[in-house]
Amino acid sequence: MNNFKSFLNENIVLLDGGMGTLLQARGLAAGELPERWNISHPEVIVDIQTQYFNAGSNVVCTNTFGANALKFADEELEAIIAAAIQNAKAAREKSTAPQQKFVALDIGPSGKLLKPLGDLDFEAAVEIFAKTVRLGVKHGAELVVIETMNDSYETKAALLAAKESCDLPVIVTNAYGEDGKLMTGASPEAMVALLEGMGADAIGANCSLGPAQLVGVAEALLRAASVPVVLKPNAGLPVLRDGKTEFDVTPSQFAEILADLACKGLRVMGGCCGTTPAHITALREKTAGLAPVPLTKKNKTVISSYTHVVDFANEPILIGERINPTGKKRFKQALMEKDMDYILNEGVKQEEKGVHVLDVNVGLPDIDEVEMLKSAVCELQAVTNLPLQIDTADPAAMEAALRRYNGKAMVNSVNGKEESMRAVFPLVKKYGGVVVALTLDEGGIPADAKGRIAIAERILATAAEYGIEGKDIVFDTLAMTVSADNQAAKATLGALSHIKKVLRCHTSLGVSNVSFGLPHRDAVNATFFAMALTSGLSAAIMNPYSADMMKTYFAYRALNGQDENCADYVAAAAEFAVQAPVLTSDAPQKSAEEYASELQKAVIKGFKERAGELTKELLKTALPLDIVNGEIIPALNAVGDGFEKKTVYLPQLLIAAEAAKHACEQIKSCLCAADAPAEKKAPFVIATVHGDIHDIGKNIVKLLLENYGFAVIDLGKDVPPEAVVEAVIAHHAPMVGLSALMTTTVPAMEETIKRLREKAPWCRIVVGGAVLTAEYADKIGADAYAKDAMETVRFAQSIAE
Amino acid sequence: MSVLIKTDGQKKAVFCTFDLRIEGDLCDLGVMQIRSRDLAAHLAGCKRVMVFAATLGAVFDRELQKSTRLSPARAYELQMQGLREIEAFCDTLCAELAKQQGSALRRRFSPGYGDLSLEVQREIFRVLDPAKHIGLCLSDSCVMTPSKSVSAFVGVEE
Repeated sequence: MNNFKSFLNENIVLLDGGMGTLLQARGLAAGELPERWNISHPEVIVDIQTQYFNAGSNVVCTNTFGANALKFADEELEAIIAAAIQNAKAAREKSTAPQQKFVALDIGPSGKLLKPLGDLDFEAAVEIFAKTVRLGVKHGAELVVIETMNDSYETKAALLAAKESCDLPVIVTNAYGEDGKLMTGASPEAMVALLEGMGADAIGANCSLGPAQLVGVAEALLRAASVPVVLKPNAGLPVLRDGKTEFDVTPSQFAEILADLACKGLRVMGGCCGTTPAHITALREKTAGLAPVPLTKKNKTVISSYTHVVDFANEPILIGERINPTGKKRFKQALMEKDMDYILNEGVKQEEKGVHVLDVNVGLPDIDEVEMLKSAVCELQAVTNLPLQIDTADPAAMEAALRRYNGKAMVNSVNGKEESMRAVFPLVKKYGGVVVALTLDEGGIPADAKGRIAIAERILATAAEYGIEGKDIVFDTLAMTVSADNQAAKATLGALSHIKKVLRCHTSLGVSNVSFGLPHRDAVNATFFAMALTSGLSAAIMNPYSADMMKTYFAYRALNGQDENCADYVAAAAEFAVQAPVLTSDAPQKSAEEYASELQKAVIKGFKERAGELTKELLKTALPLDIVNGEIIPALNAVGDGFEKKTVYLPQLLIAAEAAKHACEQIKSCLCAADAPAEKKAPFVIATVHGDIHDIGKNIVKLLLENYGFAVIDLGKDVPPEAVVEAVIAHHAPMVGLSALMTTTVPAMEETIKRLREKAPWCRIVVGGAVLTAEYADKIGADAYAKDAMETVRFAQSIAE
Repeated sequence: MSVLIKTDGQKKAVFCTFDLRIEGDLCDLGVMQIRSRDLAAHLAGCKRVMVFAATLGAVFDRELQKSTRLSPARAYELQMQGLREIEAFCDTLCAELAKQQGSALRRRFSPGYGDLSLEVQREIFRVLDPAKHIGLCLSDSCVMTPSKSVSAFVGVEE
């Protein structure tokens, strides 16, 4: 019976129209769950669905939009889904219309926002959707329709659940806003990259707007997608007329716009809120004589972030290499200390430098790479808009990171070894991705271009066996050290050029390897980069802080006709001219005598860059610890005292604290480079309690504590009591700070304190947050209440002494 | 009775007006019954009440979260900006609706004010379904996500 996939590929497919609005017209009350009507009013559901089949729908969706485990207990959930499928099939039986008819399991959003914006964990979301899908399969659904998703991450969770729980065809449609993007920011192109990568059978838009407002989105989808495109708009916008809600687009207007789009390639269509069987009838009549526009493969090599795509066809792509511990002592230290802020800053700084993709490598012998890579990817994608390149040799870490990645990632890497291809290709097939393929195999790296091309051809053939197309493979022909072999660069570029021109695949190189052992490496790297670009290099893994590399990049684009009026080059050149930041003295002169030194002045005034530069200067002549104790701490004290006396306000305190942090970062780097033993600091565990997702206050406290030399173990927000207890025990922390903003989460705070008393009786507990008072703190058993960040610092100092 | 939606770029609101009957500290909206002395006092004399939920949207929240990780000073600034923007959005919406309906609206009264429990959020979310209409969700502990959001009862003066 399940021939929907072939039907989809050969026909224009008509879906059904609105359900919720029709149920309201028949008495569904506000706040009543429509899914229950499958059981309480089956005759109404069957009647509406019969009308849709009679109007010409090929696919009718079950009345199961919100049928998930968050809203219904197991037993009721199964009863609802079983009844819903039965109703739709009964409607099919009753319908006298002649067209092919299918019953789809309808899945709407969970009703919860996923972390980090909301409180639903990604894997929990996958399980919620999987449960609905399993029940749908069990009771005879013929395809799955995932619809009205306004968050790309939740869409990924739902599609992953469908793919892992069934073999049915899956249609996915998203709710786009007036700006042509999802609520969480994804463009139509980004959704196509994500969903096609994971194997959705048709991709589209539904709900939120009328057909006219969705034309732009539909056209963008048609340009990007190789699979059939779906459109299911509302009947315009709801308006109130004489106390009744009505929609303002008539069936014939509705059908006209969709039929126009069908001529441009739209293949699957129906209606959402406010549409009726009359809209579908009009649609059937309008599209009756139309031949389906054949599907075309777009063959685009694209990766995506949660907002946008990076398309390899356009311009050279810069992949920032700095998130990688190789050869970087300070980065290794950050990894060992799980100092995620350091890694996030490396990402954001590269983004500011203009790279298009961030490589993420957190492999170190002594750390749990699976956990580390997963959390680095999750945290990075919350602060950067750029797509990520997941860089690991461990397939388990690769899978954990790909699974959680909000988009279509770049995967670094696979190579010509059987073992590598067997491990990596199934992951790329399942989660989507563009994979970097290194032209080496069991025999090593061939010395000449010919050998590398042969490996590339074998990799392509093997990928095809896994269903991975050449567009999703980017070849790295391996830059070797030219000082060891003077033919090395020629071999790399020869293979590169052939792969681009003959195999028609994109290419990538880690450029800087070429110059090992040579003086003035930047000059060699930049020249090699220019040669590679002319040979057909699509992407470079590079250091965006290297001025030579950036100059070559901007010059190449200008020379290659990719920079209108050379505007980007000119803008970039202005920045190259400013080699060293000039230290300006913005601080008012009159206050000079109040502060002992320039550095103190910079910290107090919150001049972040200046504080960093001055610290660097001082480090040439002074001991790191003397700078901390003689300069930074006194400056912070001056601001902190002012805050307590109410002569300094919170924003001033914060910018001073950030400047101090910047200064301290210079000191850390210096200690790291000298292999100096880290100073022994008192650990302080900090967390926003379970159920609470407000962490601005907690982060302010953390910043100040770090400035005052405490080793802050930040557990984040929404932290379960047992996780706090575990961390306190693991670090044998003498103190812990808990934050809560809402009255509803204070019980979680109380529970955390109770468990700490049992398991870690040595630990002193300070609490804070909007709803707390000294009395409240006392009542729930805390040792102290701190009204602000400075009070917390004072508390911590009193314990540490 | 179905809900209405108002959109202004990323900012969105969903709302619906219900008949109101007050008995002692019980506010009966038909679709929900709420016990709260303070809400009853605030709505006293009104025959109808508008229930609404509004949000600045997820993109603003992302910026806020990003700066929360990278710069608490910037986060503080955005936090204040967000509060101003969502309140201004609600003010504009209420003013427009009052004009449309030709009836004055009372000040907004939100869960968490006075003795009106935060748990009432669950009722508001059940009735308006803001998750479906405007992407505004409720966490297990009754926190609205995205965070720059407002839900409230607004008394309609006849």
